Amino acid sequence: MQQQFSSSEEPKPFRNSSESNPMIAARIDGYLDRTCAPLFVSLPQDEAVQQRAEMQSHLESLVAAHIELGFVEADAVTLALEQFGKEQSVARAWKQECETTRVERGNGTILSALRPVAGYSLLNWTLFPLLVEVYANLINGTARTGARPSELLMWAAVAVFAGEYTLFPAFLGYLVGRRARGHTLALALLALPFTVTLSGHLVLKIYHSFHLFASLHEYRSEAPALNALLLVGNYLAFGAMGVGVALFRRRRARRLASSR
Amino acid sequence: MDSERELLKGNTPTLVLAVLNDGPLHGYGIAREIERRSDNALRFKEGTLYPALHALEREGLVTSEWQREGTGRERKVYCITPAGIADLERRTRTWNAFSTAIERVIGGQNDGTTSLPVIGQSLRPEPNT
Repeated sequence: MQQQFSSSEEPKPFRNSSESNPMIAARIDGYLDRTCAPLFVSLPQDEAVQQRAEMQSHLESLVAAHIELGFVEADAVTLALEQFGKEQSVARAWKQECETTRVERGNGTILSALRPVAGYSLLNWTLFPLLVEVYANLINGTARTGARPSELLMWAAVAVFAGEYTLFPAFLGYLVGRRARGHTLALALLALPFTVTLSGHLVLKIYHSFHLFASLHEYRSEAPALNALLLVGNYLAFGAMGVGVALFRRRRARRLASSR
Repeated sequence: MDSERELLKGNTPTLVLAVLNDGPLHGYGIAREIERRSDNALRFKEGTLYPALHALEREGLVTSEWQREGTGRERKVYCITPAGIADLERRTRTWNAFSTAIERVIGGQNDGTTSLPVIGQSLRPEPNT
């Protein structure tokens, strides 16, 4: 049965009715869970939650409109869900859209990650080592790196293409759902050792823990076991950060969902 | 029925942009407005409106923001962008050319005295000569 609604007479929200009738609320929730499943796989959590809330709001208005036309709640929900579309059709439409979004954002993330990475790498492999050397000279009275300026520039060029620095901001960008935030977070984490006033020894330890490439280069001939340890430590640290960010996003998404 | 559905699905972005061209609206309002303007002739599955709106937003043709209504409920309201207006104009030209051509073929009205732009080529810029 096709019903007609007037756009100028929008029905009152259905939320109170659905809250008072758990079975109806469960039907709407179940429908939205199944149709919005692709969103939670492909889109950032908060964006997916917002899309779901928007569709829920639309459905509640449809249900309210049918109730105003004289249907009992159960029939009103059935008609509203029918009017909204088959679960498979809506889910398929979202899946297609999410695929396009993911590809576009993924490409954008990787390409735009190169800019801050290049900037950071130049700083990291030229200015920062010089500062660290000056700092080490002040603290210990001896030079730490002993590298020539030409070598530092060479490493700057290499670092631009080093997987760690290219992937790290991109990875964080994916996790937080906004590439600008991902880059900021990545740069903040990578630059952290230089912004904290700690003892020279601790600064170097943190420096090495965050700079796998430098660590391997400097320790390669000295301690293979330490190399392996640093390698594992680096990836564990990256993994822990990823899990931390994912948990944070999930908690925030739940907060958003409960507030709507 | 399938061909009608496909035709409607293919033109959903045009319909949405046309409705938003007259002012910001939320998803429910867009669906009702399309129904109202078409005298209920155009009815689509409203759940598919949201992927379409998401695509339009991703392409920068519409923007959205959450607004709190008098009832206390929050609604996401969509607004057409200048790029969206330009895209709507392009879509409208294409649709007019297309529908006129189809009408002429179906009705057999073309006596050969007037020519229509070729669909798909009509909007391309003129080559530099």
